[in-house]
Amino acid sequence: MDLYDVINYGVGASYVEVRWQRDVGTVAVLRNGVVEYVESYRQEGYGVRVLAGGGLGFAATTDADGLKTAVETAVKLARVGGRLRKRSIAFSEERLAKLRYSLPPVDLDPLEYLKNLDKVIENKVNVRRLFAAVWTTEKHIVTSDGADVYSKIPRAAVFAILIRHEPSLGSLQRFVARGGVSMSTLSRFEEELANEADKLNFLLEKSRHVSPGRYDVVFGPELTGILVHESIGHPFELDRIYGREGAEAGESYIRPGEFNIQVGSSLVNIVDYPAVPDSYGFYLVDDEGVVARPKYLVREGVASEFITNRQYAALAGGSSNGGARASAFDREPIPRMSNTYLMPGDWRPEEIIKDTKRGVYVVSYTEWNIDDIRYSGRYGILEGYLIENGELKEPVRGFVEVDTPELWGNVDAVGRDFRLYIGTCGKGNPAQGVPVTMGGPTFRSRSLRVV
Amino acid sequence: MIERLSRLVDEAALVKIKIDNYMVRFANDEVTVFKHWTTRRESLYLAKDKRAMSLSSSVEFKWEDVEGALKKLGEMPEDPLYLPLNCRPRLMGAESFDNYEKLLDVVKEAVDSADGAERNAGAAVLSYSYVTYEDTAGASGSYGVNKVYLTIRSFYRDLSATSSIAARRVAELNGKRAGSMNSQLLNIAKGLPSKRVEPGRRDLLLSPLIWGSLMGEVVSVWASGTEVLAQSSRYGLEDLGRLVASASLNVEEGAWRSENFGYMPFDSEGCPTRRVEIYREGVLTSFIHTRRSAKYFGTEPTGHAVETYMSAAPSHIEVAPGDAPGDLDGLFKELREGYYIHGNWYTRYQNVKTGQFSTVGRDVALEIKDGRPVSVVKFIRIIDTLENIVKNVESLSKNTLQVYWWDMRAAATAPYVVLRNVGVST
Repeated sequence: MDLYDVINYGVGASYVEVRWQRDVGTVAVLRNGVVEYVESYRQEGYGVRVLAGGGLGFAATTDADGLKTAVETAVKLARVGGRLRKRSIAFSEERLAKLRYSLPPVDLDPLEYLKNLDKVIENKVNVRRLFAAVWTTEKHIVTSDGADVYSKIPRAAVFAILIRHEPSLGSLQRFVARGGVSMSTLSRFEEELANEADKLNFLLEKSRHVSPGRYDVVFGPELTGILVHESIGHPFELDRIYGREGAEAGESYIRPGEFNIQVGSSLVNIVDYPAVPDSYGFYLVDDEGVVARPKYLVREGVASEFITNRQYAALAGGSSNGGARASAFDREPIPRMSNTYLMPGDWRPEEIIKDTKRGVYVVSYTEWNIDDIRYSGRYGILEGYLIENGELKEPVRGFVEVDTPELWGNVDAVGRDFRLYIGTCGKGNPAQGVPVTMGGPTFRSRSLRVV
Repeated sequence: MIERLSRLVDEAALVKIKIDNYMVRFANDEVTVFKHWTTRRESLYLAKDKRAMSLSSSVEFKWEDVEGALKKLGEMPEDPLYLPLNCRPRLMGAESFDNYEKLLDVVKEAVDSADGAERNAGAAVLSYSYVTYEDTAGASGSYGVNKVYLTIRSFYRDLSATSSIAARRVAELNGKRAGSMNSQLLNIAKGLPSKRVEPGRRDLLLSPLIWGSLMGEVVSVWASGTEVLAQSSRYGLEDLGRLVASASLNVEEGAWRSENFGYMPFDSEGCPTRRVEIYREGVLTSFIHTRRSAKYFGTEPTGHAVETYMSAAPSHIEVAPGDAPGDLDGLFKELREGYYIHGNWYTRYQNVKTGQFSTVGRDVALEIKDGRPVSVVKFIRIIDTLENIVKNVESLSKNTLQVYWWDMRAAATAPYVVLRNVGVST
């Protein structure tokens, strides 16, 4: 049975989707210069999703011979689950893609890359844990209502955990990551990592705890990324808003039916766009066959669009905006971020600092977290500086503790600079980690609590 | 495969893992999806001239993949922690695959028992793992085990409560109990005034779900031989035998025990899982190990190469009970003044070595005064070091619960705990 046989073998389902996915790659791990682990891997199989009897069923198999059974199982599970539903699950009707696309391969030997990377930091910190991976994801998605999409996307990612500890001074830890769908995204990473290692030494010696209080906070692009991802991207996933992740990744401060609510000042414009060239979160068509497009989550401070798949688009009475992603063949497509960023404004970053009388400039972060409706966030300052009368002063550490409406509502300056940072975004049950980027320009939010 | 490889390399080991999973997910009292997925992972370990690497696949290995790996193997540096294959896995009988169709009944029972909740969300999951191991040293073993868990989170307006039950058989999932526990907590919280937490240091009562999760963090980041070896852990070899935690605290790694959700007769290196005491009456007793970390520390592997041979990780945490009451009313009296926190998530470290972390409260948190709940506390975080957490244990309940949910590193059997003088913020 091939993919086309599967969609014709519906056994009473109103919708059948089959996705073949193969991930092939190599990972390497270096710990303090010693090779910890090298593995080549291949993960391949078929995921089948159906609508039947009012419910949604999903079955996955590693074996083409198991496809017939997988369809039958998915239909059976959908019907059984449908008994515990008040209304039937439906998918939005869409104009679906028929497309084949692939990107050029990424040529990277993870182990050799890490060995070279390690040389530039070996005498700078106490603990060096380096991880590199290169892999290619192939997907072929066919649906009973007309989608037929093949894609082949390579990715490379490098992660580094650096710890500097000195008994008399304490300890600092830095996580740095780079990656994307081409080698260009790794350019000059050695230089950046060496710089970060040097900064750890500097900060361990020089930075002091900030005096708690209210400050105008100028966030650099790394902070912009995590703030956008956690407090706008996640709560704008429509399945969360409707409660599907309620017992796991959580819900949202936005409730079902709340559209066009104010979430920030008029300077706040936030977009999720999968087709950013070279980006780690890149794709052209989502895993339900819907063509990706920019999603304008926040326009001039107003929530204008949510990230959705076809199921939740139908529930909300709209269309999918191509936000469905599955991390592997054995995972179902659910609404996910891709490349999520604050749109640049018209300030030069240095102008924002010059314009700030009493503030904190936050360049990088350590520990962070947020509650499960994405309202109350806390972000640890790793590299930060006091701002006094428009000038950067001594380095400080501490935490920005901020509620989402305050964070975005108090924005009064947005820079014209721009940078994206990579991450692995977790959600779903079973957990699905998908490659994403997050970022934007430097921006300022007035009078935030820094402790 | 192994026989053919024995002529080409010094050593080879093949682990085959097949996991059949069934999951009912639900939200708003409706099933959102019913899933079945089969994952396969074949891992091949290759070593020659003290060089080692591995390859893995979800489909059967093709010989050309193996040839590619053999070529790479020659280019690998010598592994200073290389040691010959030396484990003898057990040949166990395979349990029969449990009945997944009962999962829906468990969900319905749980939802129906959550009296007073406006809506419920969660998941019931059955996984059956079948694992075989063979190597060129002549060792072989196999096992087949079930594990199941139920999570239900019940909502009433902006209040919520979560129950989790982990077990080895579907019949052990008591949906009624899970729903009732949520109902009890929501009923305590309903009608109480709510306020934002005041940052500072407080005494805390934590649920088994939180305590099991935090002890999983401690074992994963500080008591893993791999982390100690990397110098990422607060502990070093010199700390073994020292009093580093409250004398009330006894923690073991329990993957060896067949009653446990995280039961695993042997690990991905074929090493039988051993009972490992982490803390005995507050004294740091031992670490969990892979073969490589065990070699570094001159000890025996403990069978904790859980996912791969790369790192030692826990599969099931056992925290011994104490003599404090087992019911919420009694525990509130035990706490006297402070906060009860029921659920947590998003544990992150400022620094794993110092163990400075924070974790975000979710579900109902209660302010307790004179042994009684007086208000609902919103937006609470625990912010402290793992060192303070293990040192500041005052008492543990006399009952334990076996728990596992989506945001835990490993399953746990854990009691309620009363901690003194812990940092909280918002």
